[in-house]
Amino acid sequence: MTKVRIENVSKYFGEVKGVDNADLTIEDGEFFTLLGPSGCGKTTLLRTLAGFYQQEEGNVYFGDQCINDLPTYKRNIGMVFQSYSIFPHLTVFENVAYGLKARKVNKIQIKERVLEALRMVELEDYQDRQPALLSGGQQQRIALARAVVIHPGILLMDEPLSNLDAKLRLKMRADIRDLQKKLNITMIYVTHDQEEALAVSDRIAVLKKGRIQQIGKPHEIYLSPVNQFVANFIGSTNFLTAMISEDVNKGSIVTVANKEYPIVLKKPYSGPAVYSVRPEQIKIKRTSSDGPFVKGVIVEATFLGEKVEYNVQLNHTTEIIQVNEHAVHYDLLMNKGEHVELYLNPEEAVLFSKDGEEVLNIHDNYSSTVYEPV
Amino acid sequence: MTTTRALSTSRFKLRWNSWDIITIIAFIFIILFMVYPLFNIFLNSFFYEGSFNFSHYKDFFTLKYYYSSLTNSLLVCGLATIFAICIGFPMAYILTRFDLPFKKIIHILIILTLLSPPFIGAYSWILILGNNGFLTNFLHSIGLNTPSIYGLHGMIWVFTVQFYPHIYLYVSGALKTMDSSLEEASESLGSNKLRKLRTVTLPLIFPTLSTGALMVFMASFADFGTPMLLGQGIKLLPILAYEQFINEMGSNPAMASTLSMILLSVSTGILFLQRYLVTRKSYSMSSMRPPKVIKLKPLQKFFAMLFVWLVLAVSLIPQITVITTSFLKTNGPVFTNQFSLDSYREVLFRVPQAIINTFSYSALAIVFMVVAGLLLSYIVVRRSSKISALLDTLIMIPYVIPGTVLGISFIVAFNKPPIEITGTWIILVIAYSIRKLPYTMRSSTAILYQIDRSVEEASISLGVPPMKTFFKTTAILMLPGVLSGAILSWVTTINELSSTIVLYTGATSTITVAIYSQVFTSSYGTAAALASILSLSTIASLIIVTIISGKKGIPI
Ligand SMILES: Nc1ncnc2c1ncn2[C@@H]1O[C@H](COP(=O)(O)OP(=O)(O)OP(=O)(O)O)[C@@H](O)[C@H]1O
Ligand SMILES: [Mg+2]
Repeated sequence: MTKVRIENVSKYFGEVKGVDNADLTIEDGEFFTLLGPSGCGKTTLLRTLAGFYQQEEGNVYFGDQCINDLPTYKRNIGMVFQSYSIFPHLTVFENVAYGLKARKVNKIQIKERVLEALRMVELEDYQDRQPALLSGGQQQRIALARAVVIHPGILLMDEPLSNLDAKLRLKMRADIRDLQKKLNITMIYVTHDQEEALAVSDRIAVLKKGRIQQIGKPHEIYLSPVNQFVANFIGSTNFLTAMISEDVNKGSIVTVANKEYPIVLKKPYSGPAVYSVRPEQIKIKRTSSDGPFVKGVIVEATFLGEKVEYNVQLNHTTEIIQVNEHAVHYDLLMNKGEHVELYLNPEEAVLFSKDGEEVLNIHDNYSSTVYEPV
Repeated sequence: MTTTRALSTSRFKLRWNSWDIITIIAFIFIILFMVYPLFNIFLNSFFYEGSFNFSHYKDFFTLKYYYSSLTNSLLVCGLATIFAICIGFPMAYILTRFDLPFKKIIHILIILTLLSPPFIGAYSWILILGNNGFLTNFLHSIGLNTPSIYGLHGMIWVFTVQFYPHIYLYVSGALKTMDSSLEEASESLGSNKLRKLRTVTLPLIFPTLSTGALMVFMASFADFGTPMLLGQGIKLLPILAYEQFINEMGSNPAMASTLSMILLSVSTGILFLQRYLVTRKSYSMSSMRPPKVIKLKPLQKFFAMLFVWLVLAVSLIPQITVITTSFLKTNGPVFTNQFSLDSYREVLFRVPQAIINTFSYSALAIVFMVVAGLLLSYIVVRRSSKISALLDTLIMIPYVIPGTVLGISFIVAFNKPPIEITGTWIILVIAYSIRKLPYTMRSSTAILYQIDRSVEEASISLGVPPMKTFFKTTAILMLPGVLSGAILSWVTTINELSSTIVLYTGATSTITVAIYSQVFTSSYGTAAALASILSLSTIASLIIVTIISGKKGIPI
């Protein structure tokens, strides 16, 4: 229902910049995720939006309304916390009804809406229970029902799944996603789990030390990271030392693992660089021929069900490369000690400047919608 | 940017909320009723015949009449502390480490001892071992002459019996949470049992033991009733201060102020000494594996139980004596062997007001303390800042103010404008509240640390303003903890004598004051009846607190 505009917002804790000049817009009904390692400022930004923190600089708008001066309890937000934060002295029903009572909704409607919300989270049979006796997953679903029942303009969640076990986490994240889409609520979701972020989000903002690094759809962030930090944080990737040189005849050339590949640069550059290629982008086969292939030997092969993970030690260098292959026919899989050759897929690889801050090449998945902080 | 910065500051002003107002009120209250009175006696102690000088202090340290009260006090309290350790430590060790029956009951009885006021103990020991006591007379009839209970040794005896539970409670708490692997490690290194106690167990529990010792010392140092009843000419510091202040033959408030300042300095000094010793020698203990309870051989068990029950019997004798004698017919100061309710009738007839006063003043003070404890602990824990830390420190100061000192400082400060409340019930309620608030604060902050902060944030995010949120969530969750603390404050408030004795007037007399004056006029029957009323109220309160804390799992 509500579009959120975050305009040059900074929040300091003394010297520490909790959030450093964040500037973004979250669309109405969007599932937007703040992603980053511990201490990067996700919680700080979320709590600033909630009004628990007051930003030092910048403005926040919900829709057209500037809410800088609006205290939390008037912001009409729903919030789900990592630690469930159920009211332990109230029953399940009373917990969910809490926000409606504060809004002075009449009794009959309260009952109707609470039951509907409990039905959505599949807890309608538990309405008279004391929440302390329920499981973690159930408690978190109560928190979810309690947050959505008030029809909030935006829904804020701070790592709501991190206290749940792995299996429940998968189910809950799908449920949350479904609920968000069904109710068409603007969602701002915090997690440090990149896989979770990729799975549920419409768009993701990746943060590092209070600064937003990149904003984009999941595939954009995965396939076209704007710097080495993002490439490293999202999914797993191989970083290889590389060298870029200008050749008068062939154009730009990257040298990696003793092989040369032509590349297209965004702007002229020569010198050392970082060659980033994801394990599943690399093609692997048993040694047979010459060509653009890099030779190596398998030092470790791990069967993971749907895929096999190989660690390949390259000949001529000390670098070890991780390669993933779909495990279609078990018989065709290779073993430790086998000699292999790899295709490093320069069309899809991303080349970073040596400091890792900049993308140098235009690759197959190159996306121009890159976030540039103002 | 400048516009947003300007906005920020204006926002800040908008957020002057109810908590800030409560903080300000708390500071005003503390400044008015603690800082101002103490500052008053501080000033007063320097005024001698209208001019500012040190002659009272000089008198104190040169005239034996004055300084002997300090040496007496230090002697009595020091020895009582040592003896209390000698009793409390073995009690704690035996009851935590060995498998004895009835541990829970013993534990509660020991707490009960602690909660009954020491001067009732002193009074019943007079009944037992006084010049005309049961035991004295009995021993006399078989030809034994016992030394009288009056004098320094009597006070040491009463304080020891009364206050060893402090040591017991602190030490058994520490022993329970001590990691047994440390002791086992020492054993595996070949230490024998005694060596183990000396090199491992003792150093580890030293911090807690010293806190217990501090409590014993402070409690006996500040106690008024015991030395008053047992002194007979030998004066301890609080008595001297009181007499200088009250003396009908020309009171000397300035000297009383000087004595108060000395009382205050000694107790503060002792507090800091203990803190200093502890910070130099504290080990952090986290109990990975609580120590196991050792099974004793029958003979060992017999002696362990003998010791425990003997100590318990001695500490319960005062209660039993008081309650039994309250049902005996009296003939002047002498008890006969006939059952009668005369004493109670007499009490209801003669001092009904005192009973009403005790319970109504204490109730008012408790209501105040519960509210203040809820709100102020919240400010200290959840809105921590330099200001709230200062508030926390100030609230804890009454720990070191002996009741007599507080009473004297109140009269000095409040018998003149701007606040003239001497002689009213208000002054008593305020004195109680100030004195006992630290205890309620402690239990409130302890429970608040256990309550998840996000519960409140959830409520606020659901549209309930912060102050209302507090009362709808956190306050309700804190209540059991605050109440169990408050009931303990209540128990000590109804038993309060040392500041009441300075502050009361005829109309505002309380049970404790009445007991005290009955004992002084040798009306032992009515004194016993009044003391029984207090004891039974104490027991009832203790039962309530056990139930509350048992249900919610809050340690007392
Ligand atoms: N109340 C506070 N006072 C001082 N510094 C704070 C406060 N809250 C957060 N910080 C600091 O701000 C930075 C960002 O913290 P934040 O809690 O937002 O991280 P996060 O991304 O949520 O991390 P996590 O994944 O561990 O929850 C950190 O360096 C943190 O130490
Ligand atoms: Mg966080």
